[in-house]
Amino acid sequence: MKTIVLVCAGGMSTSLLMNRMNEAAKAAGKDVETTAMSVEAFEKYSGPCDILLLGPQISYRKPQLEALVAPRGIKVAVIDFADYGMMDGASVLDKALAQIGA
Amino acid sequence: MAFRETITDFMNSKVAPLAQRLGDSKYLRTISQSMMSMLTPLIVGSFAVLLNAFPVSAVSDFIASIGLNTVFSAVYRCTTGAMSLYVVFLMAKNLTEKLKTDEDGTLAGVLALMTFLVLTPTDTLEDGTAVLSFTWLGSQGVFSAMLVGLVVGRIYTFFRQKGWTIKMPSSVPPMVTRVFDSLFPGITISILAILVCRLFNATPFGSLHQCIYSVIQMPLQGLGGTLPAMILTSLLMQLLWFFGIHGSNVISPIVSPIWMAMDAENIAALAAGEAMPNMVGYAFFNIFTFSGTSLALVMLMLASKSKRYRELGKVAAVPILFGIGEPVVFGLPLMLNFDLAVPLITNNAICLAIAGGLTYAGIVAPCVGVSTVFGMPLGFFAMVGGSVSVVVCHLVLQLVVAPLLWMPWFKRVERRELALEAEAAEADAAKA
Repeated sequence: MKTIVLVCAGGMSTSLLMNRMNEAAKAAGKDVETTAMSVEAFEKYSGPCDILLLGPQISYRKPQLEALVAPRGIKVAVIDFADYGMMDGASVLDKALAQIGA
Repeated sequence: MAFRETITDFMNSKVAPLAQRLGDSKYLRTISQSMMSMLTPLIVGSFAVLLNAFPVSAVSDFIASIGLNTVFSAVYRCTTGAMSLYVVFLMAKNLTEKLKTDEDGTLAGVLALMTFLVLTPTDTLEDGTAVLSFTWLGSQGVFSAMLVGLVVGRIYTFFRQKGWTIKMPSSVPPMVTRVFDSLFPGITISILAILVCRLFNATPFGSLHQCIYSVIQMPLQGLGGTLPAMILTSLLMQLLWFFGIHGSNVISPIVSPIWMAMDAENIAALAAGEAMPNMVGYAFFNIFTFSGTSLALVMLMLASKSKRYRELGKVAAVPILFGIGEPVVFGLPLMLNFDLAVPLITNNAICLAIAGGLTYAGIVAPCVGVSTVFGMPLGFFAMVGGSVSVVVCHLVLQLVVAPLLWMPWFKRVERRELALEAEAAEADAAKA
């Protein structure tokens, strides 16, 4: 079971993508759970997380979040803006899973 | 294309690091997080006032006849009317938890509240009852509350980081030790509060709150609380969005305290049955720049002949009704798209100018200062403006003015997209 965490400013637009990614994972029979939250909420989040994906609109926060999760060995990536715009859950899911080698 | 490369280069070397520095600032993030937590009490307070001063007199008369108006007044006074008490607590708590992530900031919040109250002038009635006036607890005390909260949070964290405490023998139970851990910064902070209080008593201001109100809050509201300043702010925010950066998120910690205090002043005036002191405010800004006018763009896309734009329009349609514009920004894309840069950057400013002009001319009523709730759909979002004219203005800007502003620019990119699609179709036909 892998966990993908999506973050954006308020956790609103990423929650749309979260639904799409969970649907895509279910359709492909993959054992992946995607969850979405705001950056502020993530800073206190200590639950499971294999990879942290940032909405492109907050890509400027990447260095800071990388520093935060580095001790936990969590990968950090920015979601491709074209995928984000089209809310392409399957594509984001595949790219994320490729990054964590699952 | 050297110009575009220069711009992209400028974005990577200058804009992104600046946004990152602002986004990294623990103080700015504390301010923005604390102000967001204030939304619930502010909305409860606003609705209490709205019900008492309901535009339809049958409703407000009924509320008065069943004696609810005094209850609603009390609700308002303890929410919006006492917002500084909440703000000072939240600032200290949130800052402490940001500066020292393993620390529970509650005690810092309590100490900040204590400090704020010590600094607030009290009075004694003729019959000897001690009273605390609401003067500094509401919008007038907000900046003082922010400052006190941040300073107390910083001092508290400093003590905890240094580990300064009263050393107990190891046989003392840990729970008792923890009490002493917090007692030391607590006592130091209260001594400081007493000194500061005495110091300001000796100045012509009389209190720290009055000093901060006169020296910081009034000038900032005079400067940042005007329509031209708001238009400039919106241009800057949209410019950041052009670079694909969440502009509102970067800039709002700086401007939202000023604008929210102005909204609170309007609500206070409404509660007192007076004229609105401020034409603009946070609610004004949010209502008239709903969705960054990209709702109009989605409408144009849904009606487009281009297949890709129609598809994207469908993806973006529901989110945009609730003011979520990311699919448009990154899907169309608007980000780094020079063909649509002009409307993206200027549309909000134009809408603000139109709404401001109409408000100034008295055609649209001033927003009463009720906080907007992000996530409310089109139209309903504007209801907190407190009058039908605000809702109508919001709808006309969103559904008529904004589509016209996008139209010429959108038609240009649509023509190119259609040509591309026709080419692709020809290529497919040739293959088959």
